[in-house]
Amino acid sequence: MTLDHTPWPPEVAARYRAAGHWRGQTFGAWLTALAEAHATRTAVVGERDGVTSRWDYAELDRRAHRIAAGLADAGIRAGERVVVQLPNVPEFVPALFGLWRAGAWPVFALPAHRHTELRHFAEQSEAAVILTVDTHERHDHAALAHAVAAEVPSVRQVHVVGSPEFDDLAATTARELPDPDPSGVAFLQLSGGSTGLPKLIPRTHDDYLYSVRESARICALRPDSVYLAALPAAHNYPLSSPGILGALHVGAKVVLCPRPDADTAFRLIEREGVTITGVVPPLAATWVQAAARTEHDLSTLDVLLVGGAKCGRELAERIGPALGVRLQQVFGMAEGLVCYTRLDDPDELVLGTQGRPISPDDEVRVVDPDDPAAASDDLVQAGETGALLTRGPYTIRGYYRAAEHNAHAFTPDGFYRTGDLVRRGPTGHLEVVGRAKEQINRGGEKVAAEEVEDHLMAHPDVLDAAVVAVPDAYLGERTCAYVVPVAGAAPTAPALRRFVRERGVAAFKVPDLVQVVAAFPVTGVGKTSKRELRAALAALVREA
Amino acid sequence: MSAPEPDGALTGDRLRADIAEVLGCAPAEVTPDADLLDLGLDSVRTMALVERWRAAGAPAVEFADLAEEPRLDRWTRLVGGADA
Repeated sequence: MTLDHTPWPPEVAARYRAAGHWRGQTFGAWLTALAEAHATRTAVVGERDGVTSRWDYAELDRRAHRIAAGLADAGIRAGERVVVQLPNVPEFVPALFGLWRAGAWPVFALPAHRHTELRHFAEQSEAAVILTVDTHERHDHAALAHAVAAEVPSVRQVHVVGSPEFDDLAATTARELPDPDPSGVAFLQLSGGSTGLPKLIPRTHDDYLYSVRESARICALRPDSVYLAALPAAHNYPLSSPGILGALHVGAKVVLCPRPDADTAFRLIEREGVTITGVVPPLAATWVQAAARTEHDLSTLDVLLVGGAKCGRELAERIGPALGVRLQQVFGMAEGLVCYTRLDDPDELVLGTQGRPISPDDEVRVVDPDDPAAASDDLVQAGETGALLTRGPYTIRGYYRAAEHNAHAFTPDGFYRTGDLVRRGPTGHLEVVGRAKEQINRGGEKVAAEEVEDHLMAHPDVLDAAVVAVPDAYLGERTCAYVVPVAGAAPTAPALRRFVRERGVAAFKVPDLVQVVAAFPVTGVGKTSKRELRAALAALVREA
Repeated sequence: MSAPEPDGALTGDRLRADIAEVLGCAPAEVTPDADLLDLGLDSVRTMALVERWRAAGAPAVEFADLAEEPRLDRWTRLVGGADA
């Protein structure tokens, strides 16, 4: 089975259209309308190689048209996949709309991804093109893209933003291209999965734009708002919650932050008059600390979204006073469902929950989390902890070309098994209390235990490995790998970490702690069940 | 080992102790030329060290400079100002 996209049942789709959720508009047509409404308002501000670009909506629209025409002239056809690995440079935004207008499907890689991951995305999506930058944070991304292109037969082209070749492509005379099907796939996001390799998430124009419009409304974005994209722009969160797209929806200004440390972000907040941004809890903590001594004026900042990982109560309480902002918690997933605390919610909900769903048509079930392999899906009592299942007008019904995985990631009636453990209060607000899936949430970056174990077990000195989350004062949690060496071998922790890094994986997947042990320090665990082993090790870590 | 410096001075030994503390390792593991990434350093810990060292009298220390080359010998020059 190689289904690209599992459609919603026709009667459900009809209901979402009748409700006005799905409006039959593509991203390209949406930008055309925005450019007409807000032509001379500033749309995008960003820096690349020390040069700042500042484009109004008309200019963004023109650039997107030219890039679309250039991609079409280069032979990129509608429906072809393009792996996009761009950091927070201004070109990210017109390139994205250029791809959409050409009908191509962006596959959103992160700047942190390396050879192993990029190759996987290109292979799994059968990508025709990789779009990247020259270098970023001392890494040669162009070389990386060319190396992957040489290994993956489907990849015909590499385009490098900032190169003379890309400048030519982006100077192509604009022309109208056929508008793609708004109910079809617009792009592929990455799952923060729990299996060996990330799955691809097909999102449609219709469903994503619904979440964008509602996010902009819930976060009270206005034409005079200024949104700072502090996290890597390709993440679902800075892209759409309310993110870059939410800001564009209201004619606001988007500022791309090249890196999220307090110095860089505070400088841009002051210079551009930023009113709203979104960060992960560890960053919020460093900003709170830095705000006490900063020379920058942060007085324009009104709303700070915190999400990606659970924001602890203590940190939540410090954010407002320290930064002079209103806190808005967000809990979302690239597969769909996004929850926000509302700006007029009482403090108790803002500080103590991760919000409630965007849409009245988001369906949420909190079910018995035990026995996940053969889930009974019995609802828990109101207010009890359970596993979160969801379906709705912007939550996928299946991953891209993953029939086998889909069979257990979704219920027969189309609910997505999020793998999160939550409690739902009487107002519908969710409190995230943990995970049923075997994943480590490393300060918002999701790390699948199995993926890291596979890398460790590729080392000739490693007999077996199990990766679990350990609590961490800085990141909330981080990874700890228990490694059993083969007889006679004595690999060291730094050597194993370097080995994983040099296999070409994102730095956030390199195990933070490595314990080399003669045998896993647990008893009574079935030798064949990695799941039980990880659970026992995690319990051991918690008791330590 | 050199003699202990007065409290608060940002000497190489003080930096080493701070790094070891945030990494949760022994100071002896933080050798001058060890790649701190191999010892478990991440960007949030680096940001925390920036704040700590600014408060301790190195106001010019920048995240970007530390992230450029995460090694104790390099950081000692940067934070000490000799190489700034």
